[in-house]
Amino acid sequence: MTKPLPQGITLGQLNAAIAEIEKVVGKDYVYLDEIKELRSYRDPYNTTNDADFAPSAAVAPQNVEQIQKILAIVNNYKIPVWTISTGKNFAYGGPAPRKPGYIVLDLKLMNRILEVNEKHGYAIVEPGVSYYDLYNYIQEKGLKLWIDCAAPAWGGIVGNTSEHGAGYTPYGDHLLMQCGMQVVLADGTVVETGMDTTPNSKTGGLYKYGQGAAIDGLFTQSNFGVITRMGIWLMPEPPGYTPFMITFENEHDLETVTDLSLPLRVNQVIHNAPMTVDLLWESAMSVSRSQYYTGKGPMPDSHRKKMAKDLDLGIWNYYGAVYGPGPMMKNNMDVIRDTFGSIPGAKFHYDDTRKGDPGWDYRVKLMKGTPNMTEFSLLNWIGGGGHINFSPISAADGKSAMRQYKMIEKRAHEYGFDYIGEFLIGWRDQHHIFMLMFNRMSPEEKKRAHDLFAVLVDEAAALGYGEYRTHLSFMDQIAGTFSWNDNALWDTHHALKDELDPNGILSPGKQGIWPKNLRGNS
Amino acid sequence: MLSRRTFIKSALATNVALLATPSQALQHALTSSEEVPLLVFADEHSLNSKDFISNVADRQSNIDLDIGEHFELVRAFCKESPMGQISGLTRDSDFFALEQIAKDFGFYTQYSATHLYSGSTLTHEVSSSKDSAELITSSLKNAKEQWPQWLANHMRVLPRGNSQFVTKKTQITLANTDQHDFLVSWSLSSNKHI
Repeated sequence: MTKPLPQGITLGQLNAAIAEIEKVVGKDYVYLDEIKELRSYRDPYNTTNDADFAPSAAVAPQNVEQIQKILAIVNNYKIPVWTISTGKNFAYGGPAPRKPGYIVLDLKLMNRILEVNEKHGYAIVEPGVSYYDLYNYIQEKGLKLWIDCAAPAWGGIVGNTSEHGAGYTPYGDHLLMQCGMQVVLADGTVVETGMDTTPNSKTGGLYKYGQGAAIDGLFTQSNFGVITRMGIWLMPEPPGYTPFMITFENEHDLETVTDLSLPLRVNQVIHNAPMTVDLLWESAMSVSRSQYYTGKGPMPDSHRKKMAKDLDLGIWNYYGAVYGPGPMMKNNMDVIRDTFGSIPGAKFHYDDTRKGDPGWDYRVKLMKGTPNMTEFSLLNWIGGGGHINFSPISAADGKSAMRQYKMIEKRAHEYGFDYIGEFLIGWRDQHHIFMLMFNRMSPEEKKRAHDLFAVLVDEAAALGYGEYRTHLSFMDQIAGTFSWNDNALWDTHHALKDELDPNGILSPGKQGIWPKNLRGNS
Repeated sequence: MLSRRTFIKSALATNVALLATPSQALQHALTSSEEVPLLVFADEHSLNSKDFISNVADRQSNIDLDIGEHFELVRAFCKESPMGQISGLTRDSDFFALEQIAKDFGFYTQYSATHLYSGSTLTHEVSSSKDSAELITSSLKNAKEQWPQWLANHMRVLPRGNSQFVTKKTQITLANTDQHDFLVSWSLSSNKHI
């Protein structure tokens, strides 16, 4: 088996660097075995070939000092590292590096919860801390705080936040709730952002911006530094919580539902990001596709309607929640019922009638910050399911939602895939998640999925929609769509990259940001 | 301490009259593996998986819809039994998730197979070491409808070791069962404890 090597690096150089790294972290924390160990740093949902993302090695440091030493070594040899926190970013690449041969810098052993402040509602965590870890800590200590987790919840708080991930409680905009971070730059300099830059600071977890330029965002979805610590705000446990679901019978209801949601969202009548979930996403919690349709191509409407009837689901299934004292929740729910009750066929569901339904149960948990993995069950919709997510942003506007939905559905069907998706209404925008699910054991289907995704990127861009996050394979293509003023933004990214990481050792190619020595070949 | 739902030193099922004729080497391995601590998972909703777990001679470790509920069990087992083995016949997504959790403790996939029902056809696709893939595949084929029982009886001799995988496939025709299962059988253990 040939060891994958980074571009321009010889096996001798790699082995020499590895030998030095082993002296820093110990041999037990350097992973070289191609057959088993390094397979766990591949992307099982890739739509091309495993080998395209195969690392040469992985290393798990335990602290900042070890990271500094590792970076000094790889700087000397000019070997790229690819940083992961818990490495669970599946559908976007998981633990795999952008190109073959990188050394994965796996921060899983930096998993301390450094502080949880109940009074002010924040936590300071290292990159290896998962949502489960923080939740369990809070439960053990009996603190009256909620986390806001991704679905599924095994991801890292630092990793998900720095990927611009989102959740399902009122604290669901994770980057908005981030407060302060510590970063190791390529040259080993350790930087604190925000208020922790002042000695003996007591406000690092309280105020985001500090003095001077607020640079935290520079270290998200980028490769300008290695985040080694992050502050995150936590919601105080509210006095009450009322989740609800509304099912809608018609495809075109998406437009009205979205238009009605926006004022409820911006005026904080609905406190979290409501989700408009399509029938197949909901159904896949309970049934597999083959129970309703065994033919090729997308599931026909008649079969979808039968499934909806059997499972008491709508073509669209809308989830939201209100939080707070009883009278306030009652008031808000009255407004919500009056608003959506005007849509013909709209049916309201609550815990008394819906409890026990898998889709309801897991959403109710997510909307109160209880971590779970149930959403992973979606992948049993088809045998051997894998997926990549196409995630364009739109205005929280009915016509935009319908336009995006119809465009994606049409293309998905043309390429032989079901549309499986949901819309999350944020502060002003909508995150549209199209789960492009394919049989990961079929090379033909993987290729078809890959081709579809590439078409969607260009079509969405032509309509004025950019993605909020993406898979390794499409980072360059999507970077190319953020091209206003002759690519001014990515040129700025590259100027920063050249200054902060002149040897190009930190995650080259992440989000289409390449160091100078690799830029022409990307 | 692990919960009552955990198998440790699980006794072999009484039905050692194998449905597929074992090789002598396989029988020897079966006997010598009795002391390996074993944690077994099954899917609560699948008939085949229930059939599998009912042939394992201890209480069940069943998965409902949230595989996350079993993460602590896996972590505890890996720490307490580094020489142990984790096996199961589960949904694909549950195997995927448990595989990810176990790797942090040096437990890697030593064997996996998919079992797909489509109309009257049952397809087994086995990924395993070169010297075991063919044997396992033909044994599953010979077991016909009782393949879950064969798996239960032979969990302990599923391969362990740091070998490259090969894939073998077999299909059998059964009476139309109206089953839609897509299940994965699998085994995780440490490369360092063989």
